[in-house]
Amino acid sequence: MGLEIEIGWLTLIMFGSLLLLLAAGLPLAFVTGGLACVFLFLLGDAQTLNIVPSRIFPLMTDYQLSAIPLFIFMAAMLERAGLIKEMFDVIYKLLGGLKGGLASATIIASTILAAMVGVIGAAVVTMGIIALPAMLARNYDPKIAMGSIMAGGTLGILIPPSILAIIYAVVAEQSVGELFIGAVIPGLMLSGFYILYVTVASNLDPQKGPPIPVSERISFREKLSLLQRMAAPIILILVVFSVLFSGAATPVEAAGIGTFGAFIVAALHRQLNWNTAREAVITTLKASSMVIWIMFGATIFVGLYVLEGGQTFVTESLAATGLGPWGILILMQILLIILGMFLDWVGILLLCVPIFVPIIKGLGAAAFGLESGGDLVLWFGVLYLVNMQMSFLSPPFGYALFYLRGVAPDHIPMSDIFKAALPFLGLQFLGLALCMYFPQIITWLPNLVYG
Amino acid sequence: MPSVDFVMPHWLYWFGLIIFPLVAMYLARRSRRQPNETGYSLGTAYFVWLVGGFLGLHRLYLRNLLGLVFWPLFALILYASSIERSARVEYSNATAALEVVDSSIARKEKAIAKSEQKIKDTSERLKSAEEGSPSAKRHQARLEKEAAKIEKNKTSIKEIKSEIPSLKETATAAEAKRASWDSYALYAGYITGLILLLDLFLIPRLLRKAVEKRNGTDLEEIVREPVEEDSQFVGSGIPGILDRISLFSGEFVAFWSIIAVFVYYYEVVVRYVFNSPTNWAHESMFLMFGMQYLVAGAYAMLTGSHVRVDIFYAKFSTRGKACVDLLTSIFFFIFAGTLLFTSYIFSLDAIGQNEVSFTEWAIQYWPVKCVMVVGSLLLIIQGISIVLKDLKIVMDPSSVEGGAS
Repeated sequence: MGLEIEIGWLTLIMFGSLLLLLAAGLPLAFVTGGLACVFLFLLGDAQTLNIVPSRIFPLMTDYQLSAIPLFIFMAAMLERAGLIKEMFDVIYKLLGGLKGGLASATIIASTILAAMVGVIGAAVVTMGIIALPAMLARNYDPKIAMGSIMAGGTLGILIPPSILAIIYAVVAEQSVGELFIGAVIPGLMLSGFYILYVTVASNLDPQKGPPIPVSERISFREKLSLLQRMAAPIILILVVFSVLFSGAATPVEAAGIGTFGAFIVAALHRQLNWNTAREAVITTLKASSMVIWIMFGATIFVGLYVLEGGQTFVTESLAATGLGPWGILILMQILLIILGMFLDWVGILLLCVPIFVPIIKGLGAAAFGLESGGDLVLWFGVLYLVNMQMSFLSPPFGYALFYLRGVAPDHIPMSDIFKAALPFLGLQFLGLALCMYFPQIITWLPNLVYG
Repeated sequence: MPSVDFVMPHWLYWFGLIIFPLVAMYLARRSRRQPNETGYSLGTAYFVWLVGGFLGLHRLYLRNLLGLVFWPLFALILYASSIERSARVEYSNATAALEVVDSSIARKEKAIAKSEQKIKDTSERLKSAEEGSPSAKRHQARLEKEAAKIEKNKTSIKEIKSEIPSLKETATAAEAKRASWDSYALYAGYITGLILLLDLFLIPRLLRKAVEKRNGTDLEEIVREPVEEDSQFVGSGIPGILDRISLFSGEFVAFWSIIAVFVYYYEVVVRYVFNSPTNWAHESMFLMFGMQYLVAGAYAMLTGSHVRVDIFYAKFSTRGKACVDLLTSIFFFIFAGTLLFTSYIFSLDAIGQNEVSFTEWAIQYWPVKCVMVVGSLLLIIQGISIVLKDLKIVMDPSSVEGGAS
């Protein structure tokens, strides 16, 4: 139809209708896809619609993207083989005797889990079912117990292989491997903060995290035999990580090796059969097609917006605020956290990153005290990942709170779940600030590995 | 290690994509009907033997620690393989350096010949020149200069020549190193192969032993949570028929993921063990996943896996949800319809040109584009099924049960 709409109004109309349709409960993939088609037709003509398949096809033939189904498959195979549940058992028994030990165990288990799984919801639910009753039965303070479950659950976004990191890398045209490596130290740092917090809190006030009774503790010998049961999955994680970080194979191949390893681990635990494989491939199919279809819809929607001059509009509006580079960066972080309360992370990534990254690049690496443009995009990517963790945990809408509500006992009020999240949210804020102020936390390891 | 240069034929790729899921679906159904109590099976044992035998995993699977014997052998092969790679680099560096030496010697010899010629010419001129005259002095100086040049070039040739033996030595040493490590790798490979061949016949016995041992002890069993079958989402009547189409197509492409595991496994093994990477593994797999995403859209829709923002939506009644869904489905159909129509044109173009990829493998692209049409068609079919279900709820609220539609 060739309508001419001023970009300010277009922004309002496009994102307004997006929010309206989302609130009405249409899945994100179809909201963005459908609206993109409508606006393509309104702003162009029937001919313009032909960019729909030509934007989707490159995603279908994207090499890096195949890491997504493969990493999901690896996690699904381990999960269907019952190994994730077993891992909790083992780490629990190992650390039970310490003050706050079960809470630390939850966080360590989540960290290991994060190294197997790239998506999060599952982690919070799994731990809510296994770890929460165990801690409550041993008179743990419910706030410490729930906080460590929720905070631990968010680590999946940051610690490789994170699905979000893969999508960010594809959208921002970065190397997946570098982003993976860049997220390792911040991930471990946050995990360390959480453990430190629960340990200090329960040592100051043993009521919060009492050690389990001596009669329930196990001997060193038993601990060793428990560790042996976890040997295969741990070796698998080590292999995948060393392959990833030595650069011996691409992330996609690492994912392939990991999945293959998951098959072998399942076999060693006598859980490999066609039925397990079937359940795992179907879980994989659902999770990965959910992610990829959002990409299909959003890439057309955002592509159209950028094409219509949205990029310049946002840049100019940001410049008009009179904020410096750091001000703009902080404003973006706040926007991301707010969006994260409502929208799915994949959606936020696809809606914001194509617009934000060029702006950040335009400000220049020197403005943030970084050496190269590559470092800048990498740094922003990891900041974005840390950010998504915060939005995951922020009351009142953070997803983690609701995942946990779904599995927590009824006598725990929602306000307690909110309060449980707050200290950990503070730690994440500290982590984010550190990563912003000392970019080396993020860029040091990738530069060391890739030179 | 010998090199492996198998290239996946195009027909086998497409044929495999169709046959493998069907076989897998059949086997999965059979495995669901007769679950295996012990967790051991001959099929799995041979499978692990085939893919992980070089690491002795089949023996570890059957709880036989002798499998660890394979580890040093495999480590040797990997190590030898990497030494071979670096020796090859060393050898080619040394030969390249030798070539440089040869050419610089030739250049210097040429310069000497030139200087000798000049000396000859100048000494003739000196003879004819008057003794003590300025020109004689000039010629004399010229002679001395050229003689010095010759001397200098000769010494530098000597110097360069002295490098040759050591370079030759490096080259032969590198070649010898490569050859010897190659034979070590080969021997380790033979030994591994021999034990594997032996194990091929021993596996049934090992399996019997493992099962006996297993029945003798009562270990803590890994408890697997029961999965909810996705067939619960299938409705009744006409929507039920449409749902079954999505259910089948989804499960069909889901099994492709298993193919990927083996292809990547193959790629990594031939690259690191046989030093011969393939040119088809990566391309075949990302195209396969690309097709999988497209077809899976309908399955994800059937099972409600597409994420939605449910801050408000979750609070609606079942009937309210159905009404809103009917309204918003307009946008869904706009998207799916546009995709169907435009990808139809897109794929017709590709078929017309018999489009293939720009790579060495040159796989046909048009089937991939046609899958876009199939995927959007499946989406529309699933969309119709959901609209029919919603209509039923809106028209006849009493039909709402605790179902999951």
